[in-house]
Amino acid sequence: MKKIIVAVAALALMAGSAYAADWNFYGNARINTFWTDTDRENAPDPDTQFNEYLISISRIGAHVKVSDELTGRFEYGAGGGNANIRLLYGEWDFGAGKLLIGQDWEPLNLTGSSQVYMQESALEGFGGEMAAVRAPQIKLTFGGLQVAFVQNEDTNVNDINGVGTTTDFVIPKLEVKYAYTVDNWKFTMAGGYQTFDVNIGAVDEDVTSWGLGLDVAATFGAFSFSAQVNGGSNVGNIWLIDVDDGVNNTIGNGYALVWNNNVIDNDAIGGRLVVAYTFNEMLGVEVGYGYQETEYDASIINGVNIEKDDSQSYYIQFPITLAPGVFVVPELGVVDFKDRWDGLDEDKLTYFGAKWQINF
Amino acid sequence: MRQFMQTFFAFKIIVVVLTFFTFWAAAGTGLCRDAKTVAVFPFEMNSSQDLGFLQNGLFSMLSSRLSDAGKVDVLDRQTIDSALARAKAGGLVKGAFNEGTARDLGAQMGVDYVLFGSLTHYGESISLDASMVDVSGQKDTLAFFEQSNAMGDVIPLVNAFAGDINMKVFNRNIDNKLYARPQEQNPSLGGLQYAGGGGMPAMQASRGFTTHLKMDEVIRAMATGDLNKDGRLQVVTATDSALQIYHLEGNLFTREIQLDYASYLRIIGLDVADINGNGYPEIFVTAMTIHRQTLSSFVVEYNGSSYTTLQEGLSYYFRVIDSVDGNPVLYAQDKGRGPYAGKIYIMSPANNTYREEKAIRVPRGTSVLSLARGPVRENSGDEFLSINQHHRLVLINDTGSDEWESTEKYGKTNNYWITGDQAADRTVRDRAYFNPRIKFHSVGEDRKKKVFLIKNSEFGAGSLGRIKRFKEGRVDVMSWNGIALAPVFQTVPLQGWVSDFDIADIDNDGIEELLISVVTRSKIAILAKDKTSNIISYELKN
Repeated sequence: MKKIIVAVAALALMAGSAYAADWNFYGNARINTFWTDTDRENAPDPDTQFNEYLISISRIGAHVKVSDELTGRFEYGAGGGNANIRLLYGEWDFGAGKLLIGQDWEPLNLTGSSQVYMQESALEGFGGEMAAVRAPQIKLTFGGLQVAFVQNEDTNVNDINGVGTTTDFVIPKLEVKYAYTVDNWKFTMAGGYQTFDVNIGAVDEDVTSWGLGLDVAATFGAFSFSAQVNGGSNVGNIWLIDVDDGVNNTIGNGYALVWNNNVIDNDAIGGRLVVAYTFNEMLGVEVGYGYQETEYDASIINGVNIEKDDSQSYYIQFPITLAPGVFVVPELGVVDFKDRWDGLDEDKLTYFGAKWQINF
Repeated sequence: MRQFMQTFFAFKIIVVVLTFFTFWAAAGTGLCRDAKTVAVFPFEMNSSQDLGFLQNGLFSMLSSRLSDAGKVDVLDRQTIDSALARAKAGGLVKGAFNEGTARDLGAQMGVDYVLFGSLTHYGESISLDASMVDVSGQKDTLAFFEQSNAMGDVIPLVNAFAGDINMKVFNRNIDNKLYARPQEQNPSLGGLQYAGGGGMPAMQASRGFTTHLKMDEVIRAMATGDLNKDGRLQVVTATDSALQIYHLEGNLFTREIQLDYASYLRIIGLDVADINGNGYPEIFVTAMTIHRQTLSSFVVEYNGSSYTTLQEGLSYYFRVIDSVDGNPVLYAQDKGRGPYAGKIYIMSPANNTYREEKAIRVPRGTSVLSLARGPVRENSGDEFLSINQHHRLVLINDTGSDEWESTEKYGKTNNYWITGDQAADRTVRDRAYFNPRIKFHSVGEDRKKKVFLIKNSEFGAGSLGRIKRFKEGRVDVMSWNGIALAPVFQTVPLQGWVSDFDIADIDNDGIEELLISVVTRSKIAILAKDKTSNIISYELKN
């Protein structure tokens, strides 16, 4: 009986709170339908494949406004066919700035491409776009400046000798972004830093990740463009890198390598350019190109000559708005994983299809 | 025996007295009278516009005018809708109503009379056609048809029809004037409802609005002024990337000219004022580019023979705000990091352009597009009133701090700015919606300045979806009641959303009009043109 009373009281409290706050629920469902033709250098090409699937970033969520100063948000995605928390945070506007606590987009997220292939890849990972997605963090915002203390990322230090490693953190991952807007131009700079000790047998080594990015975007009437360059060391620990066709590969994912009781740094550089034209509220066109490469800071590892590992992607799309909140985005493009770090050729995917989306 | 007789007489007296009181009470409450029941069915609306609000209004007006306690009962709308749905499902009603259908349906519902009809609207002409059918068939059907050249005549037509029914069917003679709800004890303001100054229920006005223009586009903004110094006021409307200039002829707006600008522009604000002092008022146009992340505002002026662009590509939001002494002052807000973040300046003319003269102090979250100069309270100094980014009405004191904030939401439009940089994909980016203008104007018997502002209401109170979908809008007239701003007058709710308003004597009759642009539909759909705006006016007569 006591439990029931407590449960009823809790529900009443929640209902009261919900009534007192402004809730704005939203969601969207997205389906991709694509034909993909894979070109393999050292093996027979598979037949053209058609895939239709729910895009994992389909979502449902809500903005919650308790007062002008106190807001919150939650958002669930459809990762792996299950509901996963994309966003969950509260934010306090204290006048001079804002304090955010929870899981939100990281400052190292400089977006510009709307590429829809795969899981709406947006040139992330293989196309040079700095994409740090979402993570638990404490974030301060002062106008155009964001400073965030973000959950550490340590699971991606590879150990090819198999001696076993453990890691120790002393400070959180630090990310800073500053955006400056003047007339029709927007300049954004972002940088991140993380360090941790990796214990390899009796040896302690530091794995330090850092990265910088500069993004410029502008609009001229119905035209818009955005360009970005970024680079850093061991950036797999601070943003998404994937230049090896989805294979969990140390160099391809931008991680440091633990080898012979040493840490081999992995340097990365990338960039992208997107140009778009909006004909009207119903139709637009966007063309994008991105390039990403990673390379170990060593010439030979385990007797193998190390080369750069790179990839590129380019596409053209025609976003169509059928009605407010109803979209079809036909897209034709290429994802070329080019050469691997050991010199082997990788897959080149040529694709055509469309994303279908309804916001509700 | 005697005792028995006494008891018997006493019992008879009690029975007689009880019977008398029972009949008396029944008569007093009308129970012994033969109360007639009337079913008023929703009128068929033949119009290219969505006149759902008028359909509801016709039902309400006829219900109130025909109801007579104990004599005539008019069924409520819910009962009617349920009966109609059942009849349609059962195949009793197919297509339009006719006398036979009405009689059958009335018999099924057990009512005495069925009232049905249609309202046809074409251009500015309207025709009201209705029939009152006696379900028993003992009385002839009372038919009524009348037409008018003004939309605002709907109410008098309904009054006349209701009068006919009352006279010929119910033998009740009521002067048409009595149909107007009592207002003697309350202040009046033309066709606007009295809102009670806070707390009192709104009351229906006897006078309606006049429709001056219907357009198959979304009117984003509107302003008035004598643009070419011909002594006649012009009305300027803005659609996405064009301006239209009209003047009034009769009750209708006649278009003088359409000025087309770059198709990538999206206009969200208009003001007319002679800021450069050359005698011709400028049109200050606040516009975004189609990406809705960049401003590209411009200024237009009549040069004696044509309209020319004085300035373009300006990264400002403009608003002309009357000073305390009534002179127009140009305010501009720079782009900042968003529509509610830029600094606001008083602008002054300088060499065919405008320069920032002085920044004003306002709280964060203020937009110049929904800013007006007070005083709001009596005997107070410099005060501003604004609708902030959360759609709350904010009183700003002379130090630039917010002194009071409303609990209710006001403003809201369908004009928006794309915000947020967390996702490049525009399909999921957040939108910051602009609020419409606020204006101070002297109206009412006390001639004190009151606040005019728009209140657009969303479906589901805006709790669903990122895109605002409006149910209805209205203009409120508010004044300070000592502790808060409270509505004094208000227009009837208008289906759709109110995009802008202005106050001017557009028909030059010495009485100012409240001019309102209403967007009734604004869907975007392939192969369908589904956008409609209207400009209507209320006379602001005491």
